[in-house]
Amino acid sequence: MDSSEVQAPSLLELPLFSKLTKRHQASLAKFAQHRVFPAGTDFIRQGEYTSDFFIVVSGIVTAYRTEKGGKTEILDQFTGGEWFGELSALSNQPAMARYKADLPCVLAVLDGALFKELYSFAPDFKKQVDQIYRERSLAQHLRVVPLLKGLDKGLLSTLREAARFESHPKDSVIAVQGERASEVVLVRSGGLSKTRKNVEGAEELVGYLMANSSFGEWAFLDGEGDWKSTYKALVPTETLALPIASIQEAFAGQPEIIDRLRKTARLIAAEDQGIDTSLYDVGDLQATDEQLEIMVHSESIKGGEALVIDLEKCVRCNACVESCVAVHEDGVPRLSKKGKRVSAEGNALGKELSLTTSCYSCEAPGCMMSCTYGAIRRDSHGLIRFVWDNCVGCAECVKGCPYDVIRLTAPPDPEVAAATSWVSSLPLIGNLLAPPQESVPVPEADRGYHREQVVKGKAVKCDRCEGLPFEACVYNCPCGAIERMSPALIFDQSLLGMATNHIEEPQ
Amino acid sequence: MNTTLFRSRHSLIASIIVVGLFVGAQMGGISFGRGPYSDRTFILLSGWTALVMLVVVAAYVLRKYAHRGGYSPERAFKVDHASIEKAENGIHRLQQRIDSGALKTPALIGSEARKILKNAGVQRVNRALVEPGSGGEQAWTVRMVPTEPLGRVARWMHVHVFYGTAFGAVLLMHSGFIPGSAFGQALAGLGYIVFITGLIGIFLWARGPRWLTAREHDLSIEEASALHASLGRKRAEAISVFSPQVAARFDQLGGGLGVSASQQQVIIDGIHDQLPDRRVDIQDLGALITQEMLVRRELRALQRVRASFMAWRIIHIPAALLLTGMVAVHVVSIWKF
Repeated sequence: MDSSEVQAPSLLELPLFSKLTKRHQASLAKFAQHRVFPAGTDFIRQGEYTSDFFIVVSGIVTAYRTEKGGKTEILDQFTGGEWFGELSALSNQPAMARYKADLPCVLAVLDGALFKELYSFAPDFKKQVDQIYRERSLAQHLRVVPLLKGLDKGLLSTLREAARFESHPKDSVIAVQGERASEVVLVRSGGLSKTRKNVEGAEELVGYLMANSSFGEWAFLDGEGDWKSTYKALVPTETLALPIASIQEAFAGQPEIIDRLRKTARLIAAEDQGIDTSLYDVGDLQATDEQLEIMVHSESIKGGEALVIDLEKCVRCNACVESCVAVHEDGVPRLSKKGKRVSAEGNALGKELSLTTSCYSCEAPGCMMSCTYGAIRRDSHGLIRFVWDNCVGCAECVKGCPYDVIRLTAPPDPEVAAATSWVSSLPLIGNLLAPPQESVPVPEADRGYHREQVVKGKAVKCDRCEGLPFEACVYNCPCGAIERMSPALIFDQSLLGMATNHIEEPQ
Repeated sequence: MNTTLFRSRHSLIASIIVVGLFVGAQMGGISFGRGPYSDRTFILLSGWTALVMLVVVAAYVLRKYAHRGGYSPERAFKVDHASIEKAENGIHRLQQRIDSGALKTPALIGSEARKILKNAGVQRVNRALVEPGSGGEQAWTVRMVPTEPLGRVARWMHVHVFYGTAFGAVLLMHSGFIPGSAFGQALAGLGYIVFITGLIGIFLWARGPRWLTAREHDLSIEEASALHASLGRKRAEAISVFSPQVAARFDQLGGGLGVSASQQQVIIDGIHDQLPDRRVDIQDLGALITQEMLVRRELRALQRVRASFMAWRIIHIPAALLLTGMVAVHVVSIWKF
């Protein structure tokens, strides 16, 4: 993103921020950035990961959306005092549109962590954001609900007033299997677990729902209006509930749409029972029950790319871990060979594999959702990056990561650094003799939103050797046993050929 | 079994060199080594060939340990995050142009991508990979992948294996199987040792991982090692709350090593009698020690399997180092005298 900081006009004068507490005002004044974009700049691209919230200070911004067939339409235009980006800031999901500066623009930018802080703890801010979202974006957003996919935005806008925004704390139950279902629920941010009672009456995990997923569509079918599963918030979650009665009422005079909705609801109900109707045409895996179980339970299915060790090639020489240590100045390995083991029968490669403990850059990153210090962000390509200066070592990300890939290192010790500094200043041999230097600690006054916090350590995880021309573990394995690949490649039978080519060492 | 080890173009190149030398000697009626039908040119040619192969083979070792030690030269190429992000954004825009149909051939896409990487200053760190996309014949996807300038160690391993094997064969031709001088015999003998242990190593590295994987049941060797260390720490921590005398008695248990179950029970019962009010703590500690013993037993079993396919290195590595030194002496002495 091309930008530069300019002198900030006071955001506090905007109605959006007029009722903030003193503490939030201070955070806003300190951490909101102002950026300028020349006319014609595409500063957010459709499909790009972003978690920033933008307020137009001056200029005009236009949002464009390109549909699958290549047709591009203008979604909206924003001028001074208006805002956008609340969906991505909440959900950490890719942007649904391309945003272009039509005139030279000055934008105020709140990063995802600051936005979430205000959204969670400043009721007036939340109310205004939700109100504008309801007016401007809701109709477009509803088109991600499979039941409503393809319906005209104008038609959907009739549902605006009926939509109900709900916040669910962690572990709260949103819907209970067997109880009467009367609404379609769209997950706006956070994540849900989906469980079902098995024949013995025990709860069995059958899947996860992340932001932009929905459930309850089958309630549209008469006589089948019970929740088929129990849905529980894994993390603080925001949802949008759309009563079925409102949908029926909105389209009452249009029997062809009602008929179409019924057909779609029937397909969704069938898919939910495990019948392939090809309703979901993108990203569906053809996996066996065992593979599905592995994916659901290890959450691989929501992962980005896994680091996979072929156990039939790995001689356990530890070169991968040693190479990892060698490229990180703090001497802490980001790779642990401990990980989920997948039997030869349980994957498309037909080999004994180990899914090592390395960051998967998850679709719904538990670490990022847990971090309240703005120390974890997703880059525009979906990779999870740590912002070390903001990390206070609270270990919430360690708890939030389902794969145990994050570890804490000790905070920098200024005394050790001072004692060794003379060694490193020796000519020629200084760099060889001196122990690796930690980065200079950031003064407390300049840190995150909770600057009273004492730094207890720093969180580290696999950074894929950012900036280097290799990924050390893969590059230095003498047996070609370690490779990075998508979990889909490992488990999807239909991609068997591709997966095999991927893991074999190219000649 | 790691069959990729046997599928390499270097096997072909190494074979051509060996067969070429052998056929050349046969056609010229030249006997190997020194003798009535030996040929100075052939001895020199085979000697230099063997030397070049040895250097190539040693390069693998240097490359491998340079990386592990953090001295790889390509680390100097490192670029900052801003440059990477600039390049990624450029590639993203390029992908949009591809999707819109503005760029249709992989050559054109590749050329555009290279310009983007160069402008961002990351051309030494990343290259653009253009692949067929999933959206039909005309669809292409472009993404950035690491340049891996020196190639993966796995590929260097192929070089090591095949030129190392060829080195043994060329050494046979060069020396005539059993050379006359004592130094020559030592040199050739050492070469054969390195050659044979290397062949054993190839077989074991290809087969061994499967043995170990089959032996690993509930715990992998890494997990067993981590768990054993963790239990050891817990045991030490639990013992530290007792008085030094009691701690010494626990030490007799030796973390469960070399002490039978009945002996353990006797020791624990003795401590019970001494500290009847700490019965629960002592029982917990006894359980911890038993657990540690079981994990250690499993770890040792796994380590034995691993040692079985790593043991060849005990001979191969020192012999190879000695051989390199002696070859250097041999080359200098021949060249000088």
